[in-house]
Amino acid sequence: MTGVLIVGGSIAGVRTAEGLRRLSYEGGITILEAGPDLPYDRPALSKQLLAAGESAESVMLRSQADLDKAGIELRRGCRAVGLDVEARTVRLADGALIDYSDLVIATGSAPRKLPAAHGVHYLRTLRDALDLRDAIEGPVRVVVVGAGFIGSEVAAAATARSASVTVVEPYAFPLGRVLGDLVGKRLARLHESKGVQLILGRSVREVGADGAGGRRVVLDDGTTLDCDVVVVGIGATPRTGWLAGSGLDVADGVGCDEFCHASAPHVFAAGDVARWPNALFAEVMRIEHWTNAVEQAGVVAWNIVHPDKPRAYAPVPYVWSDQYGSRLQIVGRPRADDEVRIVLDDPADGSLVALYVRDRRLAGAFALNAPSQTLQLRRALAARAPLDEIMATIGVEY
Amino acid sequence: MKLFIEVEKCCGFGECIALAPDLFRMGEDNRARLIGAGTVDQADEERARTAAFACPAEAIGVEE
Repeated sequence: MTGVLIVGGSIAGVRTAEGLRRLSYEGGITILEAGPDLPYDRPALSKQLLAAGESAESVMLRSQADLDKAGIELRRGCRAVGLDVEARTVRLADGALIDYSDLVIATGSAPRKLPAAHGVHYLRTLRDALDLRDAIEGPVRVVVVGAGFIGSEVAAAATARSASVTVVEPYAFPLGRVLGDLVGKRLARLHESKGVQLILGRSVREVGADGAGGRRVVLDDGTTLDCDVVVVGIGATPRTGWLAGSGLDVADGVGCDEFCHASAPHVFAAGDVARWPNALFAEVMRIEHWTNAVEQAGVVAWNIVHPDKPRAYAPVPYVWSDQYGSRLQIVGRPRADDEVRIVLDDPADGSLVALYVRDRRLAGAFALNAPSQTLQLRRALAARAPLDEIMATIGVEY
Repeated sequence: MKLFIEVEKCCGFGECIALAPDLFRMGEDNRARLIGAGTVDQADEERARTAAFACPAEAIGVEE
């Protein structure tokens, strides 16, 4: 085959394929997807499907007809197990070899597993979401392990569906490891105001049966929590196992240059699996968020079609999360050890804006129910605007 | 080329405004709006398409 081969049929893979067509790429485009489904929208799993109870159809990204019309061949249930960058072939589980002119690695990430945990839910695939939705129907007791984005969104969705929810988080506050204690405390209040019990500063030793048909969660201090459903959201790891022996740098995802080009000719990476130097922040990044997958896919498509004038990928990272009817937004690269400046805190509508300052520059921002300020900060980060200028326009420090 | 927004689909992510602040703005209801009638000059067409393509809610359409 001559054409672009894309491994992974989630948003990064699909958007790369569509981006190629948008740039008038006329060669063949094949997507290999290990799972059984047509492409679906992953943020919608925890947001619309779980929280709002929408149908599985509502989260589908593209129909077979859409793909046919775009001239994109999607091969479902087709797992790549090896890569030969010299011969330019990808090996499938059944031993078949597929060659490529350009390869895009978009295999995403897999949920990190909790050791010694049996009968627990994870949330990554459409099937995971449908299983979990069935499990949290009615007045069940749910224990969520991890108060990151997935854990917090699941806690909010289960609460909305009348489950009683306990969240266990090893850090002192939800998202505190990234956002620090000031914002973390505020997020703890958001959970607790909706009746969610937070157990902070504790980790899970094991999960087993409670002897009565439910699950028993044992914490590191010996506390036991009996419940009906356990959901684990403790991060993800890039899916690069199939690249072992390829010679590519896969230390933490697929190592790329600023053009998303991996360490072999005609090999690119996009989405959760890609690690690359972001010149705007002078930092090597690997980002597991939807917007990054979309933006990076666009750059990869461009760089495949225009190898003579490649574009560097230097975005302002952006992620949003919907919890308990509030919208959380993070732009840039906030860190817990940054200086945090609260520039908006309005108890009336629950809005909050926190700036993260490092080396006298804006490094990132967190916003709760403040979309217009988020936009403004995103632009300021893209322009590397001076901090005093940002402070003067965003509001008064107090 | 002409842009249109299905405002009821818009979730207020602001991708379009970040990419093309001269073509889109945020409405009072935190949903995106077009600046003007949505008619795009030839020089801005590629940027307009990029902004439309980036919408997570797929709320922006392009009439060529």
